[in-house]
Amino acid sequence: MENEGRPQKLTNTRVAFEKALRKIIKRKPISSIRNWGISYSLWPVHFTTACCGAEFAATFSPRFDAERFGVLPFVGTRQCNVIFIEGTLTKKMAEAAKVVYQQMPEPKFVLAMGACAIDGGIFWNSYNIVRPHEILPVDAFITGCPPRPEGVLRGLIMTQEKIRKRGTPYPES
Amino acid sequence: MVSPTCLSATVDATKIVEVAQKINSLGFDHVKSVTATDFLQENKIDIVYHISSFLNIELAKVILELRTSLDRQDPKIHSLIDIWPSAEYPERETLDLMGVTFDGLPQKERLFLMENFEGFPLRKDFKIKTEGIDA
Repeated sequence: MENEGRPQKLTNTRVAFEKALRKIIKRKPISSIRNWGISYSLWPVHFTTACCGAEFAATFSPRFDAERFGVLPFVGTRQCNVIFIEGTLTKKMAEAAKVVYQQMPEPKFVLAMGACAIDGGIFWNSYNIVRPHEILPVDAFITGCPPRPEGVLRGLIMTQEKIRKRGTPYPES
Repeated sequence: MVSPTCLSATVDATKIVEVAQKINSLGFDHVKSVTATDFLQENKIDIVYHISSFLNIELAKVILELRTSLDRQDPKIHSLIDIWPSAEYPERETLDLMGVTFDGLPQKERLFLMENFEGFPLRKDFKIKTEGIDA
């Protein structure tokens, strides 16, 4: 127990304070500021499953410069809050995608990229593919085979608008 | 002068090791690929080894295909990894996707597919579960 040895009264006050704080954060002025902040700090994890990874890399190159939208690709799973499903997802890789998604801190977002991630694409009806929306809650689908970097940026901007308008899911505890 | 670059040899499945040793002694030192073809109506599975050479420059221009056909109900053949070690991964792939059993392979578990995968997906009578459900 972390509160062992402390006076009971102080602990109760602290619990009540945290409860109140959580309520205030969910209310309008603070929650909209929070959502605005989250929408400009989307960090996609480095998780390349197929050839769409090349277009994903080009999105963050100086020519298209996705960092001006506050999007920074990062290697550490526990520091990221966006996962791109880049192209086709095999059954073996789907297990890895699930593990990576579970490691990311809340709030987290999933973007599915390319025709393969929507309905299989050229691998439609194959024995070895998984459609991402069956295993992860996908926020935005990006069409194309592969999508142009502009398309990827469009998907990111749509996700940002979605976060600002509808808010983000709050962790329960 | 015309020189042959593609040779084909069709052998019985029981004699494939002897033939392979003979081909190896001629100077063919590696297997390029191992392929299996499923013939559902004729009830057989054909195995094709593509064999070539690195060391002998004249033989490097030649690709020899060693063909054999197996019974489709129980496809069994002796592995050629003792003669050509480069055949190991293609043979394991054929075992994985086509269900051809190679005697003498050190590892016989799944290579590409999930360990709990049922059936052999490249056979003609393999049914995909999502087929016909969505369009």
